[in-house]
Amino acid sequence: MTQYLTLEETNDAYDRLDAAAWGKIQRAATILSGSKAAGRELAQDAIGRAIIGDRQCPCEVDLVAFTVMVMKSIVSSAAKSAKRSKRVLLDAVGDGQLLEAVQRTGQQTAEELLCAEEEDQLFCQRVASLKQQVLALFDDDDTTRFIVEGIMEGMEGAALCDLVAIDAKDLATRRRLIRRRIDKAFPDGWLA
Amino acid sequence: MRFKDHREELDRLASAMVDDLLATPDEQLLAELGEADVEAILAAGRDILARARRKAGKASLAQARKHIALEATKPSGNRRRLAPDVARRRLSGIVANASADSRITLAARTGKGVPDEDLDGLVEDADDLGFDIDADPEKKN
Repeated sequence: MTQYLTLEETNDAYDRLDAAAWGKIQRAATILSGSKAAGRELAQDAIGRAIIGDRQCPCEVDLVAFTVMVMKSIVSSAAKSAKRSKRVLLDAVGDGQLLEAVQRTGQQTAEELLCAEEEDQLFCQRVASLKQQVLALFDDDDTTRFIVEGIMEGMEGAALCDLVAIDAKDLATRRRLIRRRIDKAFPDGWLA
Repeated sequence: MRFKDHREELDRLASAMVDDLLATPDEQLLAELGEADVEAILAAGRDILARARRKAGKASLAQARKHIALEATKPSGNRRRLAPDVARRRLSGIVANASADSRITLAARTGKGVPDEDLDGLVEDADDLGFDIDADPEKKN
């Protein structure tokens, strides 16, 4: 049976975190949320859930890894929620031409729907451009660029090794290179 | 390809980067961060923890208030709400067995004009005052 840290133990463990541990939590939060400011909120949210017992840390799991796992789960839930948003057709200017828009809670009028759709379009362009910027960081290294593309497609471990014919050790080295290069290019997060 | 697909691609890359970050030895990460950043990171970490605690405290307080408000709307104790005919019968039993008791109100004594929704409350009040709420209305003390 899984044993969990008590609330007191969880609080004490957070008090004892050192610079390396906080460095990992803060950097992970920035990467996952896209910006330093959003990252701080994300880390606070995840730690807040842990210290009130909403999320319990198993005794055998490292607290930093646990905190990062909670952050990933929060981000994933938000993404799923956005995915569930309903797409509707609306005649925004009354000329009979229907536009597709995203229906979210509280966005009921055609004007609001159109506004939200425009924001989505702009964000869409920004994300597409970001992807190209990230890939361009590896223009000098085809193998690593293929790995980045593979990761984006959802490939992992052995599949990535097979993709570019390298071993697990080489893959680990290249994954570190990928993180460092992206970290250097986007120190405040890629949506900052 | 839609925006969400691009976003998912970047999310997958972010997740892989975070996995690598966790696998990075502490000393290697500290070297990456640099001497000057270490103090700033510790200070930011303490700030995140303090804010998380304040936020969690506020959330707990709000939850406690909500719980108290919810409890206040429930009937007291573990009593189940009585059906009006059962409550009326019990009230009759109480009155029959303690009709001289000054704590029994006129309304309760006559049993008239008491709306069904108030009957349950009267039985509860009688119980709180120590009357035998299971008394048989046919038997007087």
